[in-house]
Amino acid sequence: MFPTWIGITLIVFMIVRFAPGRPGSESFEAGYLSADGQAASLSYYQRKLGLDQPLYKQYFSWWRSLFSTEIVASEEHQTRTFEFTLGYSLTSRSSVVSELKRRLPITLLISTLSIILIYIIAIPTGLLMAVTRGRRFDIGSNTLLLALWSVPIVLVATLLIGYTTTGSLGVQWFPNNGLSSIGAERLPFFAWLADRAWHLILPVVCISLGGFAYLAKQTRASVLENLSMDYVRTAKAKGVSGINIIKHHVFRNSLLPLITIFATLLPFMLAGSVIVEKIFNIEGMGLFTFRAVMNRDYDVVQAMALIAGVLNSFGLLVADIAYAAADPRIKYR
Amino acid sequence: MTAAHTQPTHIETKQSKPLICIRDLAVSFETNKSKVKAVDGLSLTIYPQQTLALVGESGCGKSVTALSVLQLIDQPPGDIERGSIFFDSTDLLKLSEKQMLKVRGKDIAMIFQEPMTSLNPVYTIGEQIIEAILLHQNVDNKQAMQIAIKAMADVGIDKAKQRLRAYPHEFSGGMRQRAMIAMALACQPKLLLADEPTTALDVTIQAQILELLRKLQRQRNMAVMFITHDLGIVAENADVVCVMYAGRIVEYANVFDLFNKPQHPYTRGLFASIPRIGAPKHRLTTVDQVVNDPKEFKKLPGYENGVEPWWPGGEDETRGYVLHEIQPNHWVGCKHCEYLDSQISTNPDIDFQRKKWCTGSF
Repeated sequence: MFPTWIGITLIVFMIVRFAPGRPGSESFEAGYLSADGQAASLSYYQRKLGLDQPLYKQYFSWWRSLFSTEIVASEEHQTRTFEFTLGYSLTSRSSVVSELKRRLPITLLISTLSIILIYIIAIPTGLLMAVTRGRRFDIGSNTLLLALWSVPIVLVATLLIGYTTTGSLGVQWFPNNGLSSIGAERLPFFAWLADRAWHLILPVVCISLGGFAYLAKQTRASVLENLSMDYVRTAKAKGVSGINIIKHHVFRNSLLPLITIFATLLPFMLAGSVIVEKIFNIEGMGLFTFRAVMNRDYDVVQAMALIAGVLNSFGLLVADIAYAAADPRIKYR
Repeated sequence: MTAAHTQPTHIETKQSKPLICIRDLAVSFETNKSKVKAVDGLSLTIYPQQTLALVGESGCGKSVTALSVLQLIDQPPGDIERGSIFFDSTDLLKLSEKQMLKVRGKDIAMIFQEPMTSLNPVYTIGEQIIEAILLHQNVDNKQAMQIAIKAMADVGIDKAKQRLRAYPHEFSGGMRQRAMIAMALACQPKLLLADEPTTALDVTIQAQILELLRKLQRQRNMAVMFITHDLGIVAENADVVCVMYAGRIVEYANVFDLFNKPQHPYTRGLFASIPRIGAPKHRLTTVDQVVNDPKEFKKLPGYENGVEPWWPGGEDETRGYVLHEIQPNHWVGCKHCEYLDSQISTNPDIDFQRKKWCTGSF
């Protein structure tokens, strides 16, 4: 896994360096700097961030900046402290790790809830579609799922905000931004929880739709494939009833490929969080990444991409372990 | 193949009630272009303890016949158009799905060609055998486990108790087929449908499995419908042979009559096409004008195209396909063979069994 991570750092680093724009260049777009001012601004940042150095030196200095060493001198002796910082933000001047402590839980909360929701709804839907193959329910759901899968999150989110938060339909069902109402921290625990849940509904729904469509279609395909397997015919010949064939024989076999999809859904969630958090103004990792990209905040963009990569590799690991636990044919030694 | 040289002096005929009687069975499948008649007007009879071999090439309707007996044909696309299957004097085709559940696995069991894929990969062998036992026998889990251990020991799996906990992928092909047989026989069925049970196995294992099936059949007084295209297996195991071609029976006789005096040109063609060791030949002999895709059956003479059919009486379109009993207990569906003036009978029915001494290997 470590070689993968090192590979991730290399790729992330190169992509960021070759992307258009430089730190400081966002101020040109506002048009309030003269040509001289622009040049001065650029060269200031170039020197400050060492962008005039050769690429490999920049790469290694990035590595160094992931950990900061501080020498704390007290009266008796000096102590050296290592701190894991992942670099510093250009705009907030705080370390990425300190930002993450606040933001990562929020993004993970939304992603985890979405994944749980996706699995809970998509698997029964797909199963039902497979069982009613070719009938009205199956055809209807298939069309709907295709639509859900094709519509971009941005559009869904905009429509949802337009219809459910502005009161254009007469009721303002959901709040349109943030994760809690003002003053929510003073509420008793359950009221706070309800308030948080109320705020979470729209973002979670937006981020889940695509994944739900994907997983439901995969479930349907997997169940159908298993229904035509030889072991199903054997079970029928034994006298197992239709419902029990689905419940005991087909269901468990169909779940196996769906475990692997978990590893596909996680990056999907993280990518979606950038859009959803921006739209709903949620102070999570996604919004942080979005701002960093707009500001060409190199350290933060690199750190975020690195974290996404590491999270995904953990997702793959979890999927592999779960698969080995569920399928007796696979054993890791 | 030595059966051809054995004189049918040891035919043992006794009066008993047929176990299963298939009459005029017709099964078709709906494809996106047309309707395909996989089985058309098939009749056969199996007596208790008898082995009937259904022989024919791929696509001639052997497996469809067996699957129709258990009503395992998906409808749609399949459709059992007409006919009746009497088992112990109840018509299986008239039973509801719920009643069929009590027949499948209990009175009639089936084993399949592919032992590799016919077992559920995520359950242990034991779980799968016990499932069958619990479905049909009124026992608790512990007793079911004892029955399963006994069933596995009966098919020659040693250390049966430990092996109950093994998964199918931990078994070899032969072992899996043994486990399949154990599962099928755990509920003491009266009829076993064996759909090419040895085709996927190598010859040594094939011989072992056949020997095992013969032994178990004798011990349990079970009838077997043996589907195969291996005439060697037929010669060694069958009592009655039923040669199928294009969804119809072309010849039906006891094993000695069939191998000694094949009457139908197709049967003769089949025998001629068995490759013989030592016969120097550039190309192997084939059967003339073979159609082995059910979609092509209608191109055969007499099916739909107005060409004169091969079977007698077929000129009369209302009569349909008939078999002639050209000799006692020898039915043929062809008008070009000898002894055609004998009486017509559409229901082949032979109560014949080899004597015990020749059920072993020749």
